[in-house]
Amino acid sequence: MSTVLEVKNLNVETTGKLPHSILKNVNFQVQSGDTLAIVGESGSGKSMTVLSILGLLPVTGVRITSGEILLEDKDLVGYSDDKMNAIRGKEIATIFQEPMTSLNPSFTVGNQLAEVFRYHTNYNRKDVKKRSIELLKKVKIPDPEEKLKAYPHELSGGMRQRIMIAIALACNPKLLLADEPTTALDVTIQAQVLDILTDLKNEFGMTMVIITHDLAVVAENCNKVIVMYAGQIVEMGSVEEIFQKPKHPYTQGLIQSIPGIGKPKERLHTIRGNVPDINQMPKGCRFHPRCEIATEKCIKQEPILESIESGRRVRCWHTL
Amino acid sequence: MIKYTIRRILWTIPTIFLAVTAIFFVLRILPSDPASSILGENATPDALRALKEEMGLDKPVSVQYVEFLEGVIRLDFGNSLSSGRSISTEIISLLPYTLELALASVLIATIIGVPIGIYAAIKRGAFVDSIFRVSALIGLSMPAFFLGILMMLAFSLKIPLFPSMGAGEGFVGNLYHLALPALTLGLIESGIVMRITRSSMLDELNKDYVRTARAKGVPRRTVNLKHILRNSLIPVVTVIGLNITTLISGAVLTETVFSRPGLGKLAVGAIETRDYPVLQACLVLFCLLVIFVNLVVDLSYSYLNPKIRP
Repeated sequence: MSTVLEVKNLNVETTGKLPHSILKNVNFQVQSGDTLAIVGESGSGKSMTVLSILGLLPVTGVRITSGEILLEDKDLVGYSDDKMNAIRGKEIATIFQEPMTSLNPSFTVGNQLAEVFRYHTNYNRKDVKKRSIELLKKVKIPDPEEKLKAYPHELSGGMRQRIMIAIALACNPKLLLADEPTTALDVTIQAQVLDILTDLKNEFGMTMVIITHDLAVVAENCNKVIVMYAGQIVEMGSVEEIFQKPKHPYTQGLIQSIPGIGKPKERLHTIRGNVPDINQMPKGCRFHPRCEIATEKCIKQEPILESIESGRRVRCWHTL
Repeated sequence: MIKYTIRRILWTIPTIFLAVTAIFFVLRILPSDPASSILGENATPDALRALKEEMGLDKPVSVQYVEFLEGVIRLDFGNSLSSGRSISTEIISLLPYTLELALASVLIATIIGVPIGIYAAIKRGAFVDSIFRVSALIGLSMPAFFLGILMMLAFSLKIPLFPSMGAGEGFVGNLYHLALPALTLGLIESGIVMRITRSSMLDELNKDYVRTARAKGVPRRTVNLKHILRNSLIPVVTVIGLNITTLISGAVLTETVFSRPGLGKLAVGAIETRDYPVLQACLVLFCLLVIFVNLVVDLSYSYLNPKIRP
C-alpha cells in the first residue's frame, strides 16, 4: 500500500498582528484504497483541513504558516495557484456539502461537466459528450442525455449531488475529498448517494477522505477515523477501534450522543458547552473546559498526540 | 422561450393602453384650459369658442378620448399649435437625436462601468478599489449640466477637440457633435453601473458554486469572468435599462446645455408655449420607449437566468 496523501505538521493561522491558530500540528496519512473519515463538531477545523489540501483557503484572513501537504511526492503547500489548477479536479476531486448551491445556476449540467474535461484533457466535443453520458450513467442518473441539457434548478438535491459526484469522478482522481457529502440530503437520499460513492470507490479503487459529523456514515463507509477538536487531531484509529474502545473523552462523548433506534428511550448524552472560539483557546488541553474527567494537569499542560498502539493515537493525559 | 417572448410582448398592450389613458386624463384634469391659456385672460368668449372648436375641445371628453386613442393607434397626433406642422413628422425628425444620445451614453457607461466594476470587485479593499469607488461617487453626485459645462470648457474651449453645440450633418459630423454630450451623460451613468457591477459581483464571490468551479481546476480569472459575472449581470442589466429610460426623458438638460435638437427640448418648448397636443405626443412617446426598454430588460432576464425561463 502506498501513501496517497500525507499531511505533516500542518499549521493554519489567521493573518494579522495577533494570529490565532486554526489548525495546529495536523498530521495524518491516507493510504491508497483507504476511506478516511474526519469527524468533529462544526468549528473543529475539518473543512479548513480540506480547503488547505485544495489550496483554496480564503485569499485574505488565513494562511498556512508551516507544514507540508504531500500528494504522493509533491508538496502542495508551495504550489502556485496555476500549478494547483492542474491538480484540482484531476488528481484531487472534491464534493461539497450543499448540492443545492454548489452548481452554477446559470449553466447547464453538461456545460459544467464539460468544464472539467476542458481543463484537464484534450477531448473533442464528441468525446466530452460520450464521457459525460457515461459518467451520469455511473452515478445512476436516469435519462443522462436529457439531463445534460438541464439546469441545476430543474433537478432535485439528490440528483444534483450525483452530478457533483460525476464531476468529481470525471478525471479518475487519485484522491476524492467529500466535505459532508450527505448532510444536506434526506435520509433515504443519503443512503443512495453513499451507496453510489462506495460502489464507485470499490470499482475504481479510489482513495477517499470523508468529512462528516454523522457517525453513522463513518461506521458504514470508512475504515479509518480521525477525530478533530478545536483545530487539533485528538484521536485516530481504525473504525472498529474508535467505535468499540474510544480512548479520548471527546470521542466517547460523540459516540454516546448517537441516538439508537430500538433502544429504550432515555435522555440523549450531550457534551456540555461549545467548541471554543479561535481567539479564546483554553490553555492546556483544549478540551478540558468540557471534559468530565479533567484534572489540574489538563488545565496546565497541553497533551501530545501519543501513539498507543500501531496506527492508534490519542491526545489525552487520562486515556480511557 | 418563443412562447414566453410572445406572451411578454402581448402583455405590453394593456400596459400601453393604461399609460396612454392616464396621460390623456391627467392632461384634461389640469386646471388650465388650453384655449384660454393660449388666447390670454382678455379673450372674447367668441374667440375662445372658435379656438376650442378648432382644437376639438368642444366635444365631450369621451369622444375626445376615442379620437385620441385612434390617433395613437395610427401614430397621428394632429398638428402642433405653435408651428402648425404635423406632430408625428416633427417627432420623427427629432427622435433620432434623442435616441442616439441615450444609446451612445449608455454604451459609454457600460464600456466604462462594467469592466471597472469587475476589476474593483476583484481588487476589493485595495487602494485602486477605493479610488474607483470615490470617483464613482463624484460621478453620481455631479449634475449633468455642470459636467457638461466643464466638458465644454475643457474639450471645446481650452483644447478645441469637439464642437460644443448643435447636432452636425452626415454620419461623421453627427458622431463628432455627439461626443461631448454623450461623454457627459455616459461618465455620470458609468458611476452607477460600476457600483452595481461591483456590489453584484461581491454578492456572488463567496457562493458555493464558485468554490466548486475552483475545485474543478478552473483558473480564478475564468471563474471571475464566466461563472461570477454571468450571475451578477441581472442587477447590472436592470440598472442599464432604467438608465436608458431616464436618459431618454432626462436628456432635457443636456440637450439644452449643448443646444442639441431632441425630444427633451421639444417637450419643454411645448410646455412653455402651451402646445398641449405636442406635449401629449411627447409623453406618449416617452411611455412607449419606457415600456419597450422594460420589455427588452425582461426578455434579457430570461436569457440570463434560466430559472425565469418558462
